[in-house]
Amino acid sequence: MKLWNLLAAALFAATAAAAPCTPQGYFDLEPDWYGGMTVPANIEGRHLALLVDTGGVTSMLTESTVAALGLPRRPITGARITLYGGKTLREFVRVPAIAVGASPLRNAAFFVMPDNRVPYALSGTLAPDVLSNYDVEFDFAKAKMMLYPAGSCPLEHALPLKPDEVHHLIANVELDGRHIDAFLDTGASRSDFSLETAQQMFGATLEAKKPALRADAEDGIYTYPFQQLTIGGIAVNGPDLLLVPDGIARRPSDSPRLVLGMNVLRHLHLFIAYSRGKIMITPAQTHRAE
Amino acid sequence: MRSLILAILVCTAPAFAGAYDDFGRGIDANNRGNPSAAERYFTAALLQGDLAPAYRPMAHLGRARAFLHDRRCREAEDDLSDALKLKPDYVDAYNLRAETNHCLEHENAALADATAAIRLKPAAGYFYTRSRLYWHRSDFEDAHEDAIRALIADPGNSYFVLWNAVTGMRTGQPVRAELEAAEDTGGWPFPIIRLFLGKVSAEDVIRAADDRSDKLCEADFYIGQWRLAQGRDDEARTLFVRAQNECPRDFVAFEAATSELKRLP
Repeated sequence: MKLWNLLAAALFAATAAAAPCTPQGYFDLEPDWYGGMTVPANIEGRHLALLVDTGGVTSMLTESTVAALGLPRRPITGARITLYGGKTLREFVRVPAIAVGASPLRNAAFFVMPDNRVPYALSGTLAPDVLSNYDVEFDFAKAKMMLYPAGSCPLEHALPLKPDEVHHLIANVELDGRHIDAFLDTGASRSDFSLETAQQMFGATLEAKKPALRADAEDGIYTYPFQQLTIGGIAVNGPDLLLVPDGIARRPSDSPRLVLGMNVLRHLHLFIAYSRGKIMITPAQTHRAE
Repeated sequence: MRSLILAILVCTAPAFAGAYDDFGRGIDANNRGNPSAAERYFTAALLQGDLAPAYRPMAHLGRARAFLHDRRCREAEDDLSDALKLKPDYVDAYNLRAETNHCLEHENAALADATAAIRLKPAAGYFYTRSRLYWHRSDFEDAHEDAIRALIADPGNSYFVLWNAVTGMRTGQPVRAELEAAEDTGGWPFPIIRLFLGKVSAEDVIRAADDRSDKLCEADFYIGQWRLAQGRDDEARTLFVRAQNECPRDFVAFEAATSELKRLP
């Protein structure tokens, strides 16, 4: 009997290992007001748009969406979730069934977020708690997101991701010749860099050119003409990075000081192998099969 | 003629840029408050023909934002109608077309579009738009009802707190509790909320605007509302004229000050 079990387990493992590198889910991405990428979802017949947020932890629904769906709220215990800017989330809901693209999720937990943390057309976010169950390909140029069985696709010239228990995408990049860890966040429309860290890394250069206050951002945020950012061998010229004081961003102390949002990521084609802790990066206008 | 202008614009777009690159540049230009660049890039993206279909509605909407910033209302309306043909449930296109129809003084069409946006997504920002449209029509009761809905849906937005106060003062409704409930982060526009609570003077608000024209124009509009509520119409008129002159034309304070000046004798 034990032998049969072993054989069954071996067969199952072989089948799993041989899962073909074909998408289980194939999504049309649509841009939001600021250039973030959204996927369609459906809860109890309601069509929703969720922001694809690799910088999140748990997927979220907005306060008004939770109210409209009449979902009972429960207190978050055992975890402290802080949004960019320091806002702490305190409640979550369980969604009996949600269809994201063609993929159904059952009894999934969604944290409850303030409406104003995503554009008003959106109903929430899709975060690594869902995404990390797959290998995920973002073909931004063609507005597509594909979900593959974890570990099913071959990787070539993949960049290692820093180990992170909540599956954030943290990779080493080169900014004007200096190496730094960067957080790849599809949920951010803009990219920002800690002003204090920039001063430490580029002190004299930064002083000479004097960062300028950004008129299109909140008070106290600066800009500086960085020349080039290189990630996985792909160069992005003139990356537009906001220099944000740590007191404004209020990032967790162990979080990277450089956040690359969609204004930079849009230039790239990403294949994220969450289960193997790696990412393949090519220019946006290339495709994995090529 | 319009085709010729578009052709010239395409020729001035950067060499070797594909439609996708131009589309991305258009988004960045709008996000950075550079509407003329946004218009140029979105036009180039739309004309090149190889933009992913999922991006075409947004390219029209992005260009409409740029047109509306420069009060080119007819062109904005054309783009938004094109966006809605491509994506009939595009809530942001309805919402922006409501603003565009107001710009064209098509007030009934504006209200219909704002209501269509709310039907698709009853979110705070869309109630705020419709509230302002009611306000422009001097329908203050409906303006206040939608202002309340916006604030309930998004209590953390300090501009919704202010708008609720403005519409409430006009209809004689109590607004103090909402003003006091606003979380004071110390930044702009909280000095105006403190003014409405009677905790600071108008001069303190102007000082807090720190010589920034965007803040000064908002300060002028809201202090004008404060003066209007006190029956000091002449002072209010002076402030509304200043707001009208100072504010970027796509600012809420510009439109609202313009409406007030039409109403004041």
